[in-house]
Amino acid sequence: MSLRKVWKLLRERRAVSVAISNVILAGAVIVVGFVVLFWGQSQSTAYNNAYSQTMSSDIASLQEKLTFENVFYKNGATKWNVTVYLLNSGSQNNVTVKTVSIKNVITGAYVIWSSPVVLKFFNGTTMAKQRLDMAQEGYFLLSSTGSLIKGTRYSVLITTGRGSSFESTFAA
Amino acid sequence: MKALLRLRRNVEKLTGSSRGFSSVIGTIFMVLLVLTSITGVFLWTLYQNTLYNYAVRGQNQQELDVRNENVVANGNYSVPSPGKVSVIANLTNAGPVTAQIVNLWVFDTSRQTYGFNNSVGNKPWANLSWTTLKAGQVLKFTSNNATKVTVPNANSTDSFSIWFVTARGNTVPLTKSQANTLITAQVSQGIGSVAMDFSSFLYYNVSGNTLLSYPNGGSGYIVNSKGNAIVFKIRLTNFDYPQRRTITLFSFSVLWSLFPQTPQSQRGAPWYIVNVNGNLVENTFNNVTLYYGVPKDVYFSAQSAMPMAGGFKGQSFPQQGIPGTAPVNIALIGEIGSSPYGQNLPFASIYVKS
Repeated sequence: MSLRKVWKLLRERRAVSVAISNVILAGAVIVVGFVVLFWGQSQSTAYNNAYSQTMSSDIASLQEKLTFENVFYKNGATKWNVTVYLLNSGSQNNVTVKTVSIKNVITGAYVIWSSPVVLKFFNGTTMAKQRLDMAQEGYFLLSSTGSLIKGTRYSVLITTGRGSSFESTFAA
Repeated sequence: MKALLRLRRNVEKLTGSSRGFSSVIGTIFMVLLVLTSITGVFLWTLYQNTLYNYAVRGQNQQELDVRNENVVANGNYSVPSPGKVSVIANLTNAGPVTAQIVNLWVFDTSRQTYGFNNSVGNKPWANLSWTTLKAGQVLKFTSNNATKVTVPNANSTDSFSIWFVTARGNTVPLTKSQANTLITAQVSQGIGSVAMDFSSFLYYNVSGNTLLSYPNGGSGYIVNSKGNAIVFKIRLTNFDYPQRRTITLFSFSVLWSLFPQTPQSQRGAPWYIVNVNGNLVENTFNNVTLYYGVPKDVYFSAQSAMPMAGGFKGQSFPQQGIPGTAPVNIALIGEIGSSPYGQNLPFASIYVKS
């Protein structure tokens, strides 16, 4: 565009309002477009983060594995104890024990539902962080008054903080 | 040329007119929005699904490894002192995957008490290369490196359930050696509580305190003494069933033989029990302990009961003797549990060359 044309455009007063309205309209479209674009991006980012967290949680839950090294039942004079010895044989650290239940395998009746339990190292000291890292061993004690039915099979069901479940049985 | 002119005309027409410009920009934004948001979400979802699939695949592989892990534990146990259980075992990795032993559990079914040994300081597998069993590898816990587990109130007459735990979470029960059981029935109920392994009867010529040709030695059944001191090695096993008491052999335990001196006469000589460390006979003596079911190499050599004044002196067959067959006896003196015990094993014949 030559300099003369530019000068002419500036000097001409006709259709100025149309030009201005077009500029305003284009500006508004650009602004609204950017707003919608950023909103859409934030929404998709939020969705991605949520999906990512869900997936990470599912993967971590999948990789959790607790092995029951020994489940020992002892019947005392007024109460009974069940000591559960665990090994984290999975590939996830920070495995926590959220709930533990003991139920009669035959009748399906729950005897005890404990939350939370106190995790200890095999040497008897209490775990400060109450979690089992990979290849770590630990145990907890469940106790209640009365006694279990002698000779009956009971199951110990552990639910971890990530939602995985592990079960073992013992005979009273 | 014509086409270029037409293109230029079209461009000028497009840029020269502002009509519909906002719609074009709006459309561009909309397309950008769709591309960035939807494509981003789609690709991210795909990526997360791929991660999950990898995790599932890895987990499946781990489950497969757990199922394929096959460690066989064969051995025996003894209770050398109340509350202490000594476990000897051959751990064989019969599976295709490497296995690692992390714990040993002993459950006293008679007293309903239990113990375990997972402490690095107390187990022979403190070095991890000991614990890791490659496919086909055999890990031997012999009487020298038996794993000891503290089980409250455990006694030698109790029954035990013993199992190992692997790092993958499998448990490996200890199965008792069948051969030992058979010998138990024959020996313990018959001629005493100590049995001898006939296949590992060896002798060594001795120079000073050093065992020559150690550890192979020569077959104990044909002895070529040449007038030099010799050491007999005999593998003894305690089969005190069902009490499973520990047998302690004192320094008066002796291997003795009658061998031909001349065609008309025979002569006897004793080989007293000694301690051997590596290929050296020790000048001092500590009682030899035989735990139940645990084979133990026992050495006989000294001219008199150890410790001898002036240090160890080995017994020999006289050089002036004649070749011939000689019966061999082991006279054991010691304790079984806390009671006195003695046993004479007329166990073998040897051919003395000179």
